[in-house]
Amino acid sequence: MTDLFSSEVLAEGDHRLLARREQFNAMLNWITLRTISDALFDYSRGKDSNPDRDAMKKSIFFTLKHIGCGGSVGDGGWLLENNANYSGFLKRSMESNHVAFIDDDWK
Amino acid sequence: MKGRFLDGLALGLLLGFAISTGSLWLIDSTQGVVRESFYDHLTHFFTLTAAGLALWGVSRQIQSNVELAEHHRKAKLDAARSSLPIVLSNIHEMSEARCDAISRGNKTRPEDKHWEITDFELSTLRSCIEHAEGIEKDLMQQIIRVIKCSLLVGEGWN
Repeated sequence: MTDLFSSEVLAEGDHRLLARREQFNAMLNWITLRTISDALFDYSRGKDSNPDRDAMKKSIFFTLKHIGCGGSVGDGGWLLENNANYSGFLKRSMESNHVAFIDDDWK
Repeated sequence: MKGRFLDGLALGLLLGFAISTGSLWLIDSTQGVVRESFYDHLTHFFTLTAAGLALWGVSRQIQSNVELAEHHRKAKLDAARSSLPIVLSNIHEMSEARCDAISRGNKTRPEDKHWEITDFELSTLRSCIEHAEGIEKDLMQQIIRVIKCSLLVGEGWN
């Protein structure tokens, strides 16, 4: 399997966009998980903690914006955001300012 | 301090003796109707006082039980939380490795990276969730949900 975002940009309406959307959502979920665990680190050490959902969402979008084709920690390369499809998914998420595992009430 | 206590005790005994003697003399010198009425009021007073003391005792007992339960909850939370930093650190590493793999389109597991959630990590999270409160509890519940969702639903990318 190759990175879908490294191949050519797909036009709106192309059925293969669904797979790219799934790839983007998978990355969003793992970054969300990383951000939640980071937000709880002070709490885990018995310190005062007041996790802020807005700050967590900003961190998630910032990370997604700066993920390169070599991963978030880096083998260099171009940013995934240079791909119009990835950029479109990210832009829509940022505009809605909604991250399911942060915002939704799951009770 | 001791001298002041003894002075106060002596004064209290003296005043108590004087007041009770005076009251008894007054009651003895009054008519029977007044005396009966006084005894009625005295009985009501003692009954109400006893009821008040009983209520106070029960409320103290309830408060004490609540404080004890809270103390036990915090002790258990502290015990569970002692392992939480390493668990969160592992989850951080796992999330990063997974996201990097997805961004590259890789399915293969990097040799030196944490890649799966372990039973120890899940049981630590569950213990913390059991005893935690507030937003931290919600977020720890979300961790388990995200992991389940990411591992089960997103199998195509793992």
